[in-house]
Amino acid sequence: MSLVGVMVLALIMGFIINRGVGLLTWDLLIGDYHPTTYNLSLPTTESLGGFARPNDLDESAFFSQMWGLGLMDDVDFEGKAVVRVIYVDAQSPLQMMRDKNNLERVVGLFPGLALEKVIFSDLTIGLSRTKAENFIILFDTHEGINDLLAVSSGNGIRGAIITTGLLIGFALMIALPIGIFSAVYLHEFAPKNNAFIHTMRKMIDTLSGVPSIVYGLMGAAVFIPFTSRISKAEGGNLFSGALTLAVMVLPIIISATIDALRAVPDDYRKASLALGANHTQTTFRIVIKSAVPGIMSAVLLSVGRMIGESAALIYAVGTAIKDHIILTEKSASLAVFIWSVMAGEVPNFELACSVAIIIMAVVLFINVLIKLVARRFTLLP
Amino acid sequence: MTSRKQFDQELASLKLNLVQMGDLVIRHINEGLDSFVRLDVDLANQVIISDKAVNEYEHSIEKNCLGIILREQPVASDLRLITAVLKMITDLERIGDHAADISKMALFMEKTQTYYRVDDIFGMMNVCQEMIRHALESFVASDLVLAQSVISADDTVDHLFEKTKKHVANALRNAAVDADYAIYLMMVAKYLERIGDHAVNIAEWVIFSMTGEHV
Amino acid sequence: MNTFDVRELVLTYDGKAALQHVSMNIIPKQVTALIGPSGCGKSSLLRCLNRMNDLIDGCNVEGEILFHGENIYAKNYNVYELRTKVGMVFQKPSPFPMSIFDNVAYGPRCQGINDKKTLENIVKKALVDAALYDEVKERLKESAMALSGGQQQRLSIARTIAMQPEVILMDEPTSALDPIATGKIEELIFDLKKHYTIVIVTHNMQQAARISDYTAFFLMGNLVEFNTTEQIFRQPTQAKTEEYITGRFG
Repeated sequence: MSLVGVMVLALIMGFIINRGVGLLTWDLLIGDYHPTTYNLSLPTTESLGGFARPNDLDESAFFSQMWGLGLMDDVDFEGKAVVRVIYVDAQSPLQMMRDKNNLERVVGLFPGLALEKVIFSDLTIGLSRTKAENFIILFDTHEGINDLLAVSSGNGIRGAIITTGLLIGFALMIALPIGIFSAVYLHEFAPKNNAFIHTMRKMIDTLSGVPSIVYGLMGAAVFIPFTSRISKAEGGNLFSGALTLAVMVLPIIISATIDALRAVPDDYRKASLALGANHTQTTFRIVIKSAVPGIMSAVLLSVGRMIGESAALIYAVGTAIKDHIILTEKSASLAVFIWSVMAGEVPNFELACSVAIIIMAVVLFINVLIKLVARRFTLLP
Repeated sequence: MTSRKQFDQELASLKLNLVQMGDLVIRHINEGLDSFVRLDVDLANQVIISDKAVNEYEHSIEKNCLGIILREQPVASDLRLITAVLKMITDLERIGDHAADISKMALFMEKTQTYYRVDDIFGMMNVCQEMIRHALESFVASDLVLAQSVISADDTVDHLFEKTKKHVANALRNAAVDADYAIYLMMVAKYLERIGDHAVNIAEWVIFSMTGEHV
Repeated sequence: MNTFDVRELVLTYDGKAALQHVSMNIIPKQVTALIGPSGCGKSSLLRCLNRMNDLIDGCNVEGEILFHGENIYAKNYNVYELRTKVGMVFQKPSPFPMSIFDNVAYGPRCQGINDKKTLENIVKKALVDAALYDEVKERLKESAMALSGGQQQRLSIARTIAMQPEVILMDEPTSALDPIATGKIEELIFDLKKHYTIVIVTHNMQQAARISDYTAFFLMGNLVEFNTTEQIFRQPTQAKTEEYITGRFG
């Protein structure tokens, strides 16, 4: 039976990888989601010509010696053919273009942009459907540019990655100390056979099973007003999200830490006390140190739960996909991002699968990382 | 309530062997004196050859003791018991040698063919045999009083020895006895006196095994 | 003056008596062995001497134990300080999951000694006195878990004497070791005797006879006989003692 389960799992993963791997590029990871349109003009054309093609330029790229510009045929996230800027020489006049909406602003053409439309000084027009080779010919035969429209590719997930990182980071910063110290208190210092403590433990265990959407509702009801009160946030924000995640993983951390503490042999405690150490020293110097691998597992479990968390965050943070992350505003994490691109009128399935691959890769990486760190901690002081 | 049955059985068989060795030497004393008095050369030779059996007893009991020390690591009363047995077999073996020495006198006596009876010698023999018997009995029965009586009985042996000496000296002055015979007679008496001393030693080891004190 | 004076000590675990009105003395710079059948209370008494019994739930102590004249069961007695003066070596070695150096330095560090040079000297001396230094001097920074059973036990001893205690309590220290390792520990005890008072609980009669100067025989929570080891093993005064040491116990 388990073989069937493994096969089904493999099939699902294979399917996702298949659909998503096509879009996996570096640009996806660091790019903005929302495409930006650049409407530029070039006032003067001095220092034209004499640019040498750089040696490391891609072979299929076309280079304009006049302008120091490298162009290449490419495909955007929707599969449309575009002309991509892949090189702009530092001395090229294209570095000194002006934003037509704000003539004071200097904007240089930069690699990654797709050329939509270029109106040269003699009113010749180059359009996005022109091939790169022809575009270069146009550039080489003209010495002035009136208008240049370029678009940065969107659908980048940089914002989502940063959001996810911030949420997890803050959540751990809150939950780890509280969780570990609670576990240490409950296991090492609390009087045994105390009914109150016993009930607490049972409650903590139950909390692990609460569906995450309930946490989301709690987050919306409690943390959003709370953070609004103490900061200039209005509505969902990263702080409320981090607090919600922290509360969600707290039971996991406490339970796993208690298990790790339980696994520390009593002989260590006895030996430490027999040497004249007091309980605090014993707990911190020996017990917690020995429990570190277990605590690491707790962290891993928590991160795994948080990365995949979507329902809670939809309510506690919000679903707006942002490119510039501000802590006091809402933003979409990776999982929420997937929900968001699939929830619109035109679901972008490939993009969703790409992000899924990234999430799985991150979890795998953290897994390996924590195993290495835990091993280092167990053998040496 | 004992949980060392094996060990206890070994100790019991040890005591048994000791008693058997004691019985053997007692018999040899009897036969030795007998062969001297009756000038029975065959008996004398028998006793001399039989002394080998006494030596074998000593070796086998010694081996058993060492084995027990190795295997059972005895402490306290067990240790004292084993130590006492090791010492007692030495004394018994010497007693056996003395009995054979008495028989050898009979062989030397073959030439003289005279006889002079001294009752005190038989007295000495009887007391000595009783001492040996009592010493071993006191060991088996853990009878402190009996062991102490053996020590005091040695006075009797010494007393009888003195009497024998006076008797023989007188007889010599009166030429009532052959000089060679007289000398052999005194040697027999001396051997019996030594046997008494050894019996006292045995009793002393018995007391040690019971009290830990070596008197 | 005696190191310990135990006076009418009564020890109960959840109401069940483990030690009944035990009174005895521990003589300084001597090895005292506590012997007796399982459950007789000898380990319980040992644990009382450094108040490790406090850690056991339901444990109640009446009577007094004087350490240099002061009752260690008095209210407000500093039990942590007591344990720096009265060390304990357990049956199972249990080295901490740290380097050999850190294991030995643990006690001093807990007492606030952090100077590197001081710690190095303390660790080296402790390992030398525990007859372990030569075997580990090249690998002090390696994990203590890699040592053999006998080495780990000597490490435990080094850990204890790094605190420079006055007394070393040993709870069946060689029960888990092979004969050669046991022999090394016994040799070590002969040396340690010169500087420390040692109280050792052992099941091994021959070991008690070999290494101890005084022996105390316990039976069902009572101290039956206490005397020099030579006297106990040559001529015990109590019949029960004789029965036990000659193995005639059922």
